[in-house]
Amino acid sequence: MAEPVTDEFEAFWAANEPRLRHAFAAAYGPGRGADATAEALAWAWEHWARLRDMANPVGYLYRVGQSRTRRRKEPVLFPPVGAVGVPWVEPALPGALLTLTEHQRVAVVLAHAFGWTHREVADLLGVSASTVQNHVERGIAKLRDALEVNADA
Amino acid sequence: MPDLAAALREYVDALVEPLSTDEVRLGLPSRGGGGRRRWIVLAAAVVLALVAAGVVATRDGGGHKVKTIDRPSVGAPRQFVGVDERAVRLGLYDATTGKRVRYLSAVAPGGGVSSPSVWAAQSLIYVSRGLGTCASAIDMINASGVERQLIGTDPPNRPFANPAISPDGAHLAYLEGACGPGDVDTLYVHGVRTPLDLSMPATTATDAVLGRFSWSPDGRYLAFIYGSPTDTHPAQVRVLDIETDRRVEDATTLTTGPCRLSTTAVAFREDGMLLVSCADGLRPVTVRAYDPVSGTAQATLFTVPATPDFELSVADGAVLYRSGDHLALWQNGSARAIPAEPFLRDLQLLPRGAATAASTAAPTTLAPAPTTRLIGPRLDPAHLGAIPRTGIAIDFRPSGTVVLLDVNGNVLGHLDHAEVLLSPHERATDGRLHLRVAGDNFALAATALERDAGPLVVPPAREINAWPSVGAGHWEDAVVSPDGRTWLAQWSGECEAPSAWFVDARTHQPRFAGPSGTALESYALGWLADGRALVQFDPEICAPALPSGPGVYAVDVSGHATPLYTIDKDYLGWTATSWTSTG
Repeated sequence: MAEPVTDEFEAFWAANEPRLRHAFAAAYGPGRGADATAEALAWAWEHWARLRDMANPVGYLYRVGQSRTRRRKEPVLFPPVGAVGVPWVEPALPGALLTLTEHQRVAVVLAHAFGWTHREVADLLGVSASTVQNHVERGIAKLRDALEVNADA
Repeated sequence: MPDLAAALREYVDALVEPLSTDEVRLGLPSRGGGGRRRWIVLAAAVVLALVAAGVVATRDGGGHKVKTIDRPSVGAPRQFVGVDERAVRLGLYDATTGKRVRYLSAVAPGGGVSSPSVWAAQSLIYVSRGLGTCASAIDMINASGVERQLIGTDPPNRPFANPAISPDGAHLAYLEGACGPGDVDTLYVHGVRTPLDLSMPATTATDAVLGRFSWSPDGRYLAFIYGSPTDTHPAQVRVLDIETDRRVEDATTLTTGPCRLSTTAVAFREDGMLLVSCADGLRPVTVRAYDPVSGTAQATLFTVPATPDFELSVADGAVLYRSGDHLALWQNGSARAIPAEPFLRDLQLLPRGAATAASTAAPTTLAPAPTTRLIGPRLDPAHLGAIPRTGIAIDFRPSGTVVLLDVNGNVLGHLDHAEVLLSPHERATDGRLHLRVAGDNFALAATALERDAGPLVVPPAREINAWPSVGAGHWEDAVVSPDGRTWLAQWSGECEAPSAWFVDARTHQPRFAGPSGTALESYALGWLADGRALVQFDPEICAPALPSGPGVYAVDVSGHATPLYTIDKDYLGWTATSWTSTG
């Protein structure tokens, strides 16, 4: 049988695995986030012929990851910074993230921390770019309040 | 904080480790191969064919090998108990045919059963009985299916789970699970005949997960999984000596490789060896025998292909294991597939004697529990908040349960959904409090929480016993129609497939909120002022899709759906936001 991992799939993987991983981690935390990432990428592997022709494959995979991990309904938990190996990060950050809604977390993390455009976040979440703008602004404001900082560098 | 963006980037990036295509290739078939389940079944069929043909032991190249190192005693048990996830009921099954002999637990409002633990000598099975989100009790079920609660709370607001009775019936281990930020799993070892009563919080990490308990034959050692949802902390296997250890951290940690939480399982064998399954990432699962005292591996029993989850159970030297939806009985160095239906979980292989007793013995009532403990409600003042101007308080309990209290502290009702927890003020301003109760029943309490003064009257919650004809599942929430005659209710079915239903407020009869026929994948969004419901119909994921395409529809109570906004059927990355006609 021919090796199905094509250069095209590898390129897609390289470009989008981190994006999906970051989105799911922001939305659900490490537990369901890891599962959702794996489920979405597993689906991508199995259905590459179908996925490659989609206009918005990342948005599709995001929903696949959501759907396939619906069964896990535990609360979203963000572990202490030391537990994930980044003890130099502000210790209050995990708790501050919990003050944001799921969409706000995803929007802030992807747009503010990882440099996604608002259009890209909108395609992922299935909302408008203006909604993403609102999520980012309100999310950052909430984070600043929770962390008691006035502005970030 | 000097750089919020950088901190977010580093923290989120550390939460989930990167996946490589190699990991997916190990765990999945070639493109077009038909899915993991088919792959696992095919792999198992290949192994069985090899065994039947006399090919011995190890086969490499296909990613599957059965290695004969340890030979358990002959004489396999013939029955096991397990939980049918569709019905969420405990059943007794034939280990040869995979057929269900009979259900052992009844359908009960509020949730199903899980984590059975068999006390063979008394034909008793301890189970966890779900009572809602973050609420479960520990019940006993006898061979006749008579069930009685052993450990619970009133109101049901704590998650007691994972019971494990020692083989001699002397000790019961169970878990009080974490359910909210800051909670920790707590392991209890409860003496049934002796005064032993140990409480051992997992103090090293607030996100630690404990579970999958197994007792040694002599009842001295308790093996369990100690893990974390994060990939950066693989699951550990620990063995607690209940005669000397007093904390979870005192337990001996076995020397295993990195083990993924969902594929790590433990089960003591009759000779005192501890069998442990372990897989690193999406690689094949290896089952090894360990010395529980020294914590070192003694032998490798067998290996099965990579799987999302794995469990095992031991009796009479045989190993019953589940790899995904594939069941097999391993004994005498070879595995035999059990042609059971999928959706069986939490399997417990019965010793021969217990199997016979469970099949034929019929005690009609449960003997009084040797020791029964009722754990009372816990109120944490730190989590007590009040709704302004109402005289009513909401207790946000650490378990995630939400309880309504009057000014005297009397419990008016209890809910269990985080949405109420998140925004009680918003919910109260429209004059209705939207209650969500997990389980088979839901309840609505119409209130006037916005009143300025005077005593607040909260009518009793209106409980509905309604069961749509779509198999297993549970209600998630409901909203009453403007005329008060109908509820628009959200059902979460098998595969957590969502579907929206109308429930007649008078007759309690549910009917699908859409075209008649099969329930479609849909979400109840709310009501329009004209009495029609807003329903979001999704593309097909777990349940069929609306033939006219996914989107948001206005659905009248007869089921006629008028499209308001439709999307392409291939586009899953969307969601509708509910709104109200009065908003």
